[in-house]
Amino acid sequence: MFSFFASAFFSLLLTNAHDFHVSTTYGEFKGEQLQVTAKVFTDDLEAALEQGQDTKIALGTQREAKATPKLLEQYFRRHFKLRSTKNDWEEFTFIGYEVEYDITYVYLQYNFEKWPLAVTVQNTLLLELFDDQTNLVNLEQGGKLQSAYYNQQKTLQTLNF
Amino acid sequence: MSPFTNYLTLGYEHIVSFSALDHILFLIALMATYQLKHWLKVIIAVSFFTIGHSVSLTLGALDIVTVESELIEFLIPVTIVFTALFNLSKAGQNQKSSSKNWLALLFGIIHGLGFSNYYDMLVMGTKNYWEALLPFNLGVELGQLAVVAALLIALVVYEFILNKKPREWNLFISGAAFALALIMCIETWPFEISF
Repeated sequence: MFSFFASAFFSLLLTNAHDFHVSTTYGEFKGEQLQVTAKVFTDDLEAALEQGQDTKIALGTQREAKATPKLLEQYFRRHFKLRSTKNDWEEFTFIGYEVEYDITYVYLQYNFEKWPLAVTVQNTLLLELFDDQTNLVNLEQGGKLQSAYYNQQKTLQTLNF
Repeated sequence: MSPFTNYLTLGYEHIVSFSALDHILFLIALMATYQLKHWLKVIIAVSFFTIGHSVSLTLGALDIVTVESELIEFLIPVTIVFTALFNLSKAGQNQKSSSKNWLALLFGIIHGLGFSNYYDMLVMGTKNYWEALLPFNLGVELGQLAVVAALLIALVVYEFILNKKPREWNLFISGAAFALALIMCIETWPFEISF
Protein backbone atom coordinates (compact mmCIF):
# COMPACT_ATOMS: atom_id res chain seq x y z
CA MET A 1 0.00 0.00 0.00
CA PHE A 2 2.72 2.44 0.97
CA SER A 3 4.75 1.66 -2.12
CA PHE A 4 1.65 2.29 -4.23
CA PHE A 5 1.24 5.76 -2.77
CA ALA A 6 4.94 6.44 -2.92
CA SER A 7 5.16 5.52 -6.58
CA ALA A 8 2.00 7.48 -7.37
CA PHE A 9 3.50 10.50 -5.66
CA PHE A 10 6.80 10.24 -7.45
CA SER A 11 5.22 9.74 -10.84
CA LEU A 12 3.26 12.92 -10.17
CA LEU A 13 6.44 14.66 -9.16
CA LEU A 14 8.39 13.52 -12.19
CA THR A 15 6.24 13.07 -15.25
CA ASN A 16 4.11 16.11 -14.71
CA ALA A 17 6.95 18.54 -14.17
CA HIS A 18 6.17 21.59 -16.26
CA ASP A 19 3.36 20.06 -18.25
CA PHE A 20 1.52 23.04 -19.58
CA HIS A 21 -1.87 22.00 -20.90
CA VAL A 22 -2.93 25.16 -22.67
CA SER A 23 -4.13 26.18 -26.10
CA THR A 24 -4.72 29.72 -27.30
CA THR A 25 -6.89 30.85 -30.17
CA TYR A 26 -6.82 34.29 -31.67
CA GLY A 27 -9.37 35.59 -34.17
CA GLU A 28 -9.60 38.91 -35.92
CA PHE A 29 -12.53 40.38 -37.84
CA LYS A 30 -11.25 41.72 -41.16
CA GLY A 31 -13.75 42.98 -43.71
CA GLU A 32 -16.34 40.24 -44.08
CA GLN A 33 -14.17 37.59 -42.54
CA LEU A 34 -13.21 36.30 -39.15
CA GLN A 35 -9.71 34.86 -39.44
CA VAL A 36 -8.90 32.42 -36.68
CA THR A 37 -5.54 30.96 -35.64
CA ALA A 38 -5.59 28.21 -33.05
CA LYS A 39 -2.31 27.29 -31.36
CA VAL A 40 -2.03 23.84 -29.89
CA PHE A 41 1.00 21.98 -28.56
CA THR A 42 1.97 19.54 -31.29
CA ASP A 43 2.43 16.49 -29.06
CA ASP A 44 -0.96 17.02 -27.40
CA LEU A 45 -2.67 17.43 -30.77
CA GLU A 46 -1.02 14.27 -32.09
CA ALA A 47 -2.28 12.34 -29.10
CA ALA A 48 -5.79 13.70 -29.70
CA LEU A 49 -5.78 12.81 -33.40
CA GLU A 50 -4.36 9.36 -32.75
CA GLN A 51 -7.22 8.43 -30.41
CA GLY A 52 -9.14 5.60 -32.00
CA GLN A 53 -6.58 5.41 -34.83
CA ASP A 54 -3.97 2.78 -35.55
CA THR A 55 -1.70 5.08 -37.50
CA LYS A 56 0.95 7.41 -36.13
CA ILE A 57 0.21 11.00 -37.09
CA ALA A 58 3.80 12.36 -36.79
CA LEU A 59 2.68 15.97 -37.35
CA GLY A 60 5.05 18.12 -39.33
CA THR A 61 7.47 15.32 -40.16
CA GLN A 62 8.12 13.58 -43.45
CA ARG A 63 6.27 10.56 -42.12
CA GLU A 64 3.13 12.59 -41.43
CA ALA A 65 -0.02 10.51 -42.03
CA LYS A 66 -1.79 11.36 -45.29
CA ALA A 67 -5.13 11.60 -43.52
CA THR A 68 -3.85 14.35 -41.19
CA PRO A 69 -5.55 17.39 -42.80
CA LYS A 70 -8.87 15.57 -42.83
CA LEU A 71 -8.52 14.34 -39.25
CA LEU A 72 -7.49 17.79 -38.11
CA GLU A 73 -10.47 19.43 -39.80
CA GLN A 74 -12.85 16.86 -38.32
CA TYR A 75 -11.30 17.38 -34.90
CA PHE A 76 -11.80 21.12 -35.07
CA ARG A 77 -15.37 20.80 -36.39
CA ARG A 78 -16.11 18.69 -33.33
CA HIS A 79 -14.19 20.67 -30.71
CA PHE A 80 -14.32 24.29 -31.86
CA LYS A 81 -17.73 25.80 -32.55
CA LEU A 82 -18.68 29.40 -33.03
CA ARG A 83 -21.93 31.27 -33.56
CA SER A 84 -23.23 34.82 -33.53
CA THR A 85 -26.60 35.62 -31.99
CA LYS A 86 -28.30 33.02 -34.14
CA ASN A 87 -28.79 29.52 -32.87
CA ASP A 88 -26.89 27.71 -35.58
CA TRP A 89 -23.17 27.09 -35.47
CA GLU A 90 -21.33 28.85 -38.25
CA GLU A 91 -19.44 26.70 -40.73
CA PHE A 92 -15.76 27.49 -41.05
CA THR A 93 -13.50 27.05 -44.03
CA PHE A 94 -10.52 24.94 -43.04
CA ILE A 95 -7.61 26.94 -44.43
CA GLY A 96 -4.80 24.67 -43.28
CA TYR A 97 -2.13 24.24 -40.63
CA GLU A 98 1.55 24.77 -39.99
CA VAL A 99 3.78 22.93 -37.57
CA GLU A 100 6.49 25.01 -35.95
CA TYR A 101 8.48 22.84 -33.59
CA ASP A 102 6.29 22.17 -30.59
CA ILE A 103 3.33 24.33 -31.61
CA THR A 104 0.87 23.61 -34.40
CA TYR A 105 -0.99 26.56 -35.91
CA VAL A 106 -4.44 25.76 -37.30
CA TYR A 107 -6.13 28.31 -39.56
CA LEU A 108 -9.90 28.64 -39.87
CA GLN A 109 -12.02 31.25 -41.59
CA TYR A 110 -15.61 32.32 -41.04
CA ASN A 111 -17.67 34.66 -43.18
CA PHE A 112 -19.70 37.44 -41.58
CA GLU A 113 -21.47 40.01 -43.70
CA LYS A 114 -21.87 42.14 -40.61
CA TRP A 115 -19.70 42.02 -37.52
CA PRO A 116 -21.77 40.45 -34.74
CA LEU A 117 -22.08 42.21 -31.38
CA ALA A 118 -21.80 38.92 -29.54
CA VAL A 119 -19.97 35.74 -30.45
CA THR A 120 -20.50 32.48 -28.60
CA VAL A 121 -17.68 29.97 -28.77
CA GLN A 122 -17.71 26.38 -27.62
CA ASN A 123 -14.16 25.17 -27.09
CA THR A 124 -13.49 21.58 -26.00
CA LEU A 125 -10.00 21.23 -27.50
CA LEU A 126 -8.01 18.51 -25.69
CA LEU A 127 -10.46 18.40 -22.78
CA GLU A 128 -10.95 14.70 -23.53
CA LEU A 129 -7.23 14.12 -22.86
CA PHE A 130 -6.31 16.29 -19.89
CA ASP A 131 -8.24 17.16 -16.74
CA ASP A 132 -6.21 20.34 -16.34
CA GLN A 133 -6.50 21.52 -19.94
CA THR A 134 -7.13 25.26 -20.25
CA ASN A 135 -8.07 26.99 -23.49
CA LEU A 136 -8.11 30.70 -24.19
CA VAL A 137 -10.01 32.37 -27.00
CA ASN A 138 -9.21 35.99 -27.88
CA LEU A 139 -11.28 37.76 -30.51
CA GLU A 140 -10.60 41.20 -31.89
CA GLN A 141 -13.05 43.49 -33.63
CA GLY A 142 -11.80 46.86 -34.84
CA GLY A 143 -9.16 47.10 -32.13
CA LYS A 144 -11.45 45.87 -29.36
CA LEU A 145 -10.14 42.69 -27.82
CA GLN A 146 -12.30 40.24 -25.88
CA SER A 147 -11.17 37.09 -24.19
CA ALA A 148 -12.74 33.88 -22.87
CA TYR A 149 -11.37 31.16 -20.58
CA TYR A 150 -12.23 27.49 -21.02
CA ASN A 151 -11.70 24.37 -18.93
CA GLN A 152 -13.56 21.18 -17.95
CA GLN A 153 -16.26 23.20 -16.18
CA LYS A 154 -16.55 26.01 -18.71
CA THR A 155 -16.83 24.97 -22.34
CA LEU A 156 -19.29 27.56 -23.67
CA GLN A 157 -18.62 31.30 -23.43
CA THR A 158 -19.95 34.44 -25.04
CA LEU A 159 -17.74 37.34 -26.04
CA ASN A 160 -19.47 40.74 -26.27
CA PHE A 161 -18.26 43.61 -28.41
CA MET B 1 -13.57 39.29 -19.96
CA SER B 2 -10.36 41.15 -20.58
CA PRO B 3 -7.36 39.19 -21.84
CA PHE B 4 -5.42 40.59 -18.86
CA THR B 5 -7.60 38.74 -16.32
CA ASN B 6 -7.49 35.50 -18.29
CA TYR B 7 -3.70 35.48 -18.71
CA LEU B 8 -3.35 36.36 -15.03
CA THR B 9 -5.55 33.38 -14.13
CA LEU B 10 -3.53 31.16 -16.45
CA GLY B 11 -0.27 32.12 -14.72
CA TYR B 12 -1.78 31.69 -11.26
CA GLU B 13 -3.25 28.27 -11.97
CA HIS B 14 -0.02 27.14 -13.53
CA ILE B 15 1.69 27.48 -10.15
CA VAL B 16 -1.12 26.50 -7.81
CA SER B 17 -1.49 22.98 -9.19
CA PHE B 18 -0.01 19.56 -8.68
CA SER B 19 1.85 19.72 -11.96
CA ALA B 20 3.99 22.54 -10.57
CA LEU B 21 5.40 20.47 -7.70
CA ASP B 22 9.00 21.17 -8.68
CA HIS B 23 8.29 24.87 -8.55
CA ILE B 24 6.58 24.60 -5.17
CA LEU B 25 9.38 22.43 -3.80
CA PHE B 26 11.90 25.11 -4.71
CA LEU B 27 9.83 27.73 -2.85
CA ILE B 28 9.67 25.45 0.19
CA ALA B 29 13.45 24.99 0.14
CA LEU B 30 14.00 28.72 -0.32
CA MET B 31 11.86 29.49 2.72
CA ALA B 32 13.33 26.92 5.09
CA THR B 33 15.76 29.29 6.86
CA TYR B 34 13.16 31.96 7.47
CA GLN B 35 10.95 32.52 10.50
CA LEU B 36 7.59 34.28 10.65
CA LYS B 37 9.19 37.63 11.44
CA HIS B 38 11.09 37.43 8.13
CA TRP B 39 7.92 37.36 6.04
CA LEU B 40 8.96 40.43 4.07
CA LYS B 41 12.33 38.85 3.20
CA VAL B 42 10.47 35.80 1.97
CA ILE B 43 8.29 37.88 -0.33
CA ILE B 44 11.34 39.72 -1.68
CA ALA B 45 13.24 36.49 -2.36
CA VAL B 46 10.22 34.95 -4.09
CA SER B 47 9.86 38.08 -6.22
CA PHE B 48 13.50 37.75 -7.31
CA PHE B 49 12.63 34.21 -8.37
CA THR B 50 9.70 35.53 -10.42
CA ILE B 51 11.90 38.18 -12.06
CA GLY B 52 14.38 35.43 -12.95
CA HIS B 53 11.92 33.29 -14.81
CA SER B 54 10.17 36.26 -16.38
CA VAL B 55 13.56 37.12 -17.86
CA SER B 56 14.15 33.69 -19.30
CA LEU B 57 10.58 33.47 -20.60
CA THR B 58 11.34 36.60 -22.58
CA LEU B 59 14.77 35.35 -23.63
CA GLY B 60 13.14 32.15 -24.86
CA ALA B 61 10.77 34.29 -26.89
CA LEU B 62 13.59 36.08 -28.64
CA ASP B 63 15.35 32.77 -29.34
CA ILE B 64 18.48 34.12 -27.66
CA VAL B 65 18.95 31.02 -25.57
CA THR B 66 17.92 27.55 -26.48
CA VAL B 67 18.76 24.84 -24.02
CA GLU B 68 17.92 21.18 -24.29
CA SER B 69 14.71 20.61 -22.34
CA GLU B 70 16.15 17.35 -20.93
CA LEU B 71 18.99 19.32 -19.41
CA ILE B 72 16.59 21.88 -17.91
CA GLU B 73 14.41 19.18 -16.39
CA PHE B 74 17.54 17.88 -14.68
CA LEU B 75 18.84 21.31 -13.63
CA ILE B 76 15.57 22.29 -11.94
CA PRO B 77 15.84 19.66 -9.17
CA VAL B 78 19.58 20.45 -8.98
CA THR B 79 18.66 24.01 -7.97
CA ILE B 80 16.49 22.57 -5.18
CA VAL B 81 19.28 20.26 -3.96
CA PHE B 82 21.72 23.18 -4.01
CA THR B 83 19.31 25.45 -2.11
CA ALA B 84 18.73 22.78 0.54
CA LEU B 85 22.49 22.34 0.99
CA PHE B 86 23.03 26.09 1.06
CA ASN B 87 20.51 26.27 3.92
CA LEU B 88 22.96 24.24 6.03
CA SER B 89 25.81 26.70 5.54
CA LYS B 90 26.53 29.78 7.64
CA ALA B 91 26.03 32.00 4.60
CA GLY B 92 22.69 30.39 3.90
CA GLN B 93 21.49 31.02 7.42
CA ASN B 94 22.71 34.62 7.59
CA GLN B 95 19.54 36.69 7.59
CA LYS B 96 21.39 39.92 6.87
CA SER B 97 22.87 38.62 3.65
CA SER B 98 21.11 39.17 0.35
CA SER B 99 22.65 36.00 -1.11
CA LYS B 100 19.25 34.27 -1.07
CA ASN B 101 17.84 36.91 -3.42
CA TRP B 102 20.60 36.43 -5.98
CA LEU B 103 20.28 32.68 -5.66
CA ALA B 104 16.54 33.01 -6.28
CA LEU B 105 17.17 35.21 -9.32
CA LEU B 106 19.70 32.80 -10.83
CA PHE B 107 17.56 29.74 -10.16
CA GLY B 108 14.50 31.59 -11.43
CA ILE B 109 16.28 31.96 -14.74
CA ILE B 110 16.93 28.20 -14.82
CA HIS B 111 13.33 27.34 -13.91
CA GLY B 112 12.11 29.81 -16.54
CA LEU B 113 14.08 28.05 -19.26
CA GLY B 114 11.66 25.18 -18.72
CA PHE B 115 8.97 27.65 -19.84
CA SER B 116 10.82 28.52 -23.04
CA ASN B 117 8.16 27.15 -25.36
CA TYR B 118 5.42 29.05 -23.53
CA TYR B 119 6.02 32.38 -25.19
CA ASP B 120 4.83 31.41 -28.66
CA MET B 121 1.79 29.81 -27.09
CA LEU B 122 0.91 32.86 -25.00
CA VAL B 123 1.34 35.75 -27.41
CA MET B 124 -1.72 36.45 -29.48
CA GLY B 125 -1.61 37.64 -33.05
CA THR B 126 0.46 40.77 -33.21
CA LYS B 127 -0.17 41.53 -29.57
CA ASN B 128 2.94 42.03 -27.55
CA TYR B 129 4.35 41.44 -24.13
CA TRP B 130 2.02 43.71 -22.20
CA GLU B 131 -1.24 42.05 -23.06
CA ALA B 132 -0.24 38.42 -22.57
CA LEU B 133 3.18 37.82 -21.01
CA LEU B 134 3.02 40.51 -18.34
CA PRO B 135 -0.29 39.32 -16.85
CA PHE B 136 0.92 35.71 -17.13
CA ASN B 137 4.08 36.53 -15.17
CA LEU B 138 2.06 38.51 -12.62
CA GLY B 139 -0.24 35.50 -12.25
CA VAL B 140 2.79 33.27 -11.64
CA GLU B 141 3.93 35.71 -8.93
CA LEU B 142 0.47 35.70 -7.32
CA GLY B 143 0.44 31.90 -7.42
CA GLN B 144 3.82 31.82 -5.70
CA LEU B 145 2.65 34.25 -3.05
CA ALA B 146 -0.34 31.97 -2.43
CA VAL B 147 2.06 29.07 -1.89
CA VAL B 148 4.14 31.29 0.40
CA ALA B 149 1.01 32.21 2.37
CA ALA B 150 0.23 28.54 2.89
CA LEU B 151 3.78 27.92 4.09
CA LEU B 152 3.62 30.89 6.46
CA ILE B 153 0.50 29.34 8.00
CA ALA B 154 2.50 26.16 8.51
CA LEU B 155 5.16 28.28 10.18
CA VAL B 156 2.56 29.81 12.52
CA VAL B 157 1.55 26.31 13.57
CA TYR B 158 5.20 25.38 14.09
CA GLU B 159 6.28 28.48 15.99
CA PHE B 160 3.23 28.86 18.22
CA ILE B 161 2.14 25.30 18.82
CA LEU B 162 4.93 22.82 18.15
CA ASN B 163 8.26 24.43 18.78
CA LYS B 164 10.12 27.66 18.43
CA LYS B 165 13.50 26.46 17.26
CA PRO B 166 14.16 27.71 13.72
CA ARG B 167 17.13 25.35 13.39
CA GLU B 168 14.97 22.26 13.63
CA TRP B 169 12.46 23.66 11.17
CA ASN B 170 15.27 24.37 8.71
CA LEU B 171 16.75 20.88 9.07
CA PHE B 172 13.36 19.24 8.63
CA ILE B 173 12.28 21.29 5.60
CA SER B 174 15.68 21.38 3.90
CA GLY B 175 16.15 17.67 4.49
CA ALA B 176 12.77 16.81 3.01
CA ALA B 177 13.33 19.06 -0.01
CA PHE B 178 16.84 17.66 -0.47
CA ALA B 179 15.64 14.06 -0.49
CA LEU B 180 12.77 14.63 -2.92
CA ALA B 181 14.86 16.75 -5.25
CA LEU B 182 17.72 14.24 -5.22
CA ILE B 183 15.33 11.54 -6.42
CA MET B 184 14.11 13.89 -9.14
CA CYS B 185 17.74 14.48 -10.18
CA ILE B 186 18.37 10.77 -10.50
CA GLU B 187 15.17 10.25 -12.47
CA THR B 188 15.88 13.08 -14.88
CA TRP B 189 19.61 12.30 -15.24
CA PRO B 190 20.28 13.38 -18.84
CA PHE B 191 23.79 12.02 -19.37
CA GLU B 192 24.96 8.75 -20.82
CA ILE B 193 26.46 7.37 -17.61
CA SER B 194 23.68 5.32 -16.05
CA PHE B 195 23.23 4.38 -12.42
